[in-house]
Order: sequence, then C-alpha cells, then structure tokens
Amino acid sequence: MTKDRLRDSNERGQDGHPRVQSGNPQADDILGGGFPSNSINIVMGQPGTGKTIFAEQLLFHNASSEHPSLYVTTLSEPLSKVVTYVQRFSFFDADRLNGDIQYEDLGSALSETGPNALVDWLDEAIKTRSPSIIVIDSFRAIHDLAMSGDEMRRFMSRFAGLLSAYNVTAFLLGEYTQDDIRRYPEFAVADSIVELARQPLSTRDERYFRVLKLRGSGYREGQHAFRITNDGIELYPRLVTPRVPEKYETLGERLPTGVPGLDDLMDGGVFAGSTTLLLGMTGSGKTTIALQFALEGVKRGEPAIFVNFQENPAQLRRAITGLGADPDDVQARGLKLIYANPVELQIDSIVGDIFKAIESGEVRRLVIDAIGDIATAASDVQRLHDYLYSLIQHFAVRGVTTILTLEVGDESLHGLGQDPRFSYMSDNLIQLAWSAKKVEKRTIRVVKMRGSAHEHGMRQFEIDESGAQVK
Amino acid sequence: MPKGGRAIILVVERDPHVRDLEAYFLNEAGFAVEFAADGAAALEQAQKIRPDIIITEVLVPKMDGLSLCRRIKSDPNLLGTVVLIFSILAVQSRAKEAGADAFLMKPLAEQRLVDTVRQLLDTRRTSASTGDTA
Repeated sequence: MTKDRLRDSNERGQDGHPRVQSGNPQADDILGGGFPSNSINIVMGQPGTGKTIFAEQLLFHNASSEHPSLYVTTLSEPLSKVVTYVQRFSFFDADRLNGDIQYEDLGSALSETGPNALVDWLDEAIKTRSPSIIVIDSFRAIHDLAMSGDEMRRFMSRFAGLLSAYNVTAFLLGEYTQDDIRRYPEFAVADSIVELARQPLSTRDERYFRVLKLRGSGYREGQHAFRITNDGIELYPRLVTPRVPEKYETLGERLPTGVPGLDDLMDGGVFAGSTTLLLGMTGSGKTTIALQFALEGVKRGEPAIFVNFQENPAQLRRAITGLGADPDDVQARGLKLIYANPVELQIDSIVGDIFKAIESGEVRRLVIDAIGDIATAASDVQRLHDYLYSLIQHFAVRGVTTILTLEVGDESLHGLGQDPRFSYMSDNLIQLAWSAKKVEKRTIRVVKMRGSAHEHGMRQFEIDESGAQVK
Repeated sequence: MPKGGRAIILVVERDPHVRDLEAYFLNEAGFAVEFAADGAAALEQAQKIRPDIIITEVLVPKMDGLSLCRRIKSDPNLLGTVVLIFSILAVQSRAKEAGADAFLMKPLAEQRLVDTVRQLLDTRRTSASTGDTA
C-alpha cells in the first residue's frame, strides 16, 4: 500500500472506516481491518516481547517517499540498537532509510529540555516532512522525566491535540504494565491499545498478542499466539466458533472407515463432516485405524491430512508401507502429512497450520494423532478445549470428516473421565483395548454414535500385515 | 480581495492545533490567512475584509459553520465569496444544502487542503470572468 492510498483513506476496515494496515494480515484481521487511521495507538509489553519488531514491520509496510514514516527513540531505547537489529528481518530495506523511513534520536533533547522537546519536534516534523506514521519508542520513558501530574496532563493535551489535528497515525511503544493503564493519561486518549506478552513455560515461551481497546470497532478478543521469525511477527489468530453459513446443512452421506468390519458396527460408516474420538491404551491400534481411515479417503479421491506428534516422517512412511501403500504415491494423490515435535509444539501454530491447509484445499478427511499431545503442550487446558471445539465446528461446517485419537491409561473409560469434554466434542466414540494375559486379544467397541443405530457390544479385532480388521 | 497580491483566506476554527497547521500550510502555499474563533465574529470580519475563501469548521461557537455559510451566501455584499466547510463531522450533504462550495473532512492533509483551495479559486476566477457569480 502506498502512503497516498493510506492518506486518501482507501484502505478501510470492516466498519468502512479508513485503517492503517500493520503489515501483518493476521493482526489486521484481529483488529477488524487494521488500526484506525489518524489515531493514537499504544503498543504495550515488557522488554523482549516484540514491540519494536511489530512497529518496524508496520513502518516498512506503510512508508512512502512522499509521506515518510518516522521512528523516534526517546530515553530507554538507543537508536543504534533499534537500527542494528531491524536489519536482520526480511522486511528491512536499507535503500528506504532516510527517505521513506526516517529514524531520529530525541534522547538528548528530552534530557536537556524536558518532554516539550517531543511536542516541538512533532510540530516541526508535521510541518516540514508530511509524515503519515510516527512511532515513539519508548513513550513510557517520558514519564521518567520527573514531571508533576499537572505538567504531564498539559504535555499530553498539547501532544494529543497536535496529533489529532493532522492526518497522522501515531504508535506509542512502552514497557507498560496493567497498572499503568489506570495511571497514565495516554491510555485515556489512545484510540487503540494492543499488548504483546511473553509467558515462560518449562522448556519454551509462549507469546501472545491481545487487543485491549479499539475505539469504534469490533475486534477479535482474547490472546492470539505469535512467534518471531525472520519475516517479523507471525500471528495465529485465536479460532472462534464459526457462524454457521446459510448453506451449511448436516451431511447425510456415510463414509467408509477403511477398516474391514468397522462400518458394519457403525450403521454403514461415519457421517461426512462428523468427528470421531478413537480412544485406547498405547499399542491398542489407534494410529493404524486412523491411518487406514486417511488412506481410504485417498483411495476414494477424498484428500486427507494426517497430523502426527509421535511418529516422525520416516516412521510414518514405514507405517504406510506396512499397510500396503506406497508413501510417495498416496502423498501425490492427496495425503498430506503434518508432523510436529510435541516438545516444540505451540498449539496455536499447529492448529493454525491445519486450519490453513483445510481452508486452502479440498480436504475431506482429517486425523489428529493424538489430541493428548496437544493437551500436554497447552499451557491453558480450558483454552485448548475452546480451541478444539471451535476447530471441530469449522471442520463440520466445511464437511471435513475427522478422527481424533486419545491415549488413555487403562481399558475402562476412566481415562476419558479425566477429561470428559473430549467426548462431548465428538459425534462418535470408539474404544479400543487389548490384553496380553494369555493370548493377545484386541477388542473394539462403538460407545457412542450420534444419529445412528450402531452396535453396542464389544467385538474382537486383529491387526495383521493388511492392517486392522474387525472379526 | 487580494492582500499584497495574495488571495485572502478567513479560517474559522477554534482548535488551536488545527488553526496553527492550517495557517502554516496555507501561508506556505502563498495565501494570506486571517482568523476568527467563532461564527459571529467570522461574519463580521468577512463583511470587513471581504475574503476570497472562508474555511470553516461546523462546530464553532455563537454561530455554527453551516449557519455562517447560509448567511454568507445570502449576503449581497459577499456575493462570490467561496465557502469551504472543513469539519470533523461527516456533513457533506448538509454543507451542500447550506450552499457551501466544497466540503472536506478532517483531519488535515495539507496537499488535499491546498489543492482544494486552489481549485476553488480557479473556479471562482473563471466564473467571475464569465459574469457568473452564482
């Protein structure tokens, strides 16, 4: 987007009002189209949360030679550090410096003459440089200049008045805390407040983006995960339960599971668009059945995604070969394998990847093996359930038929009792068990199947070189 | 009425920041700028200095910008005075009903403002040379 288009208000949000895009489509989506144009916005977060990167990405996205973007450092952020580190990102373009993008250090002026140095600079910059975006990093540091409350209010009145008069969009960065929101006057004049946060877990950190205020516009509430890559901030907007589109209707078609004998127990197969929870101890055959389900889809021309957290790609290829299929052939014919290491797993990123694959392709079948791994990786189990519930609703609306596997500790349903929410999310529940007391014996039972006259009894099943089959 | 050869613009605005920036950009563009802080004072001043263009916010004290526009447009002594409504309010159609020659929505973007003023002056000049003062 060029600056002229921005200033002529051609970029508009869902509400029809002009917006400044952040350079990050996911952030704009969360914000209902972007930041309001001609506004004062606060980007808050503790040191190291990604505020500067977020602002730089926005700056490079919006600047033009006619209406440059200005990045001003104050007292806490040395300009040399800002410029040194931004060069590592793909959006950085050295040719645009001192033209489209202008950096300035106001640290000395602020120390010598106080906060009004910022207003004087702003007044001069507006009159002589026609800026469209101004980033002030850090604005919170202005409070360290030991002003009285009255002086600060007068300063804010001048500062905000000047920014509001002119067609410029300002971003005030700061290491603000939640308490500062009540304390500092800039939060009262801000048109939007976004927070970047980092939550340390045992082996990794989870980062979140959150909108706290957005005047005159709706936005996606809650915490949205993000990570920092060479391209800048990569966001995974929180899934919300989809509004059911008018064309959505329950699909009556039944799909074969690919497991001989299982369809007979299930009144002819699973409903298209349904979700089946496949429950069992380790070694009970969950992955084999789920893989047969995905391969059956490929055989019928129904593209499938198999998401796996335990078997690495080589192991999964062996499992496919073990079922008599050629891994390269089935992948060429529509089987997509997604492997994520559970140690590195961030639920939002993997769910985001699944969702993207489903939105962009003609996926008809999906396996997540196993959702317990996602639960282990999730720092907030309630959030995980909300997420999975929303995801399953999206699958249903899109007619994607899903199998979720879940490992439990014993043959009873007690394992499920630890988390009954997995059950009510699913249309169908299949329990697998095996014992090796005298002779190895495997059993399968369809515990629940919505809208179907299924068999209730326990049946034996076997796994041999051709896969699993019900006896 | 040219002031030292420069077109005179009467800015009716109570926001000091907008007033200051308007003055700066219009002066830079070669216009002579006068101010009034409310509608009543603006009408009085207009009758005195006969500006080429009046740029007024709608939300000004004593007499709002739209009423000011109607009064200007119905005053036979001010025939040909151009009125530009420059407001924070989206009142384009009401501005037109009041007889305004143009409407611009805030915030201030200097190029848009200066271009509009120049365009209005050109139109006024052409109308005057053809005898059309409507």
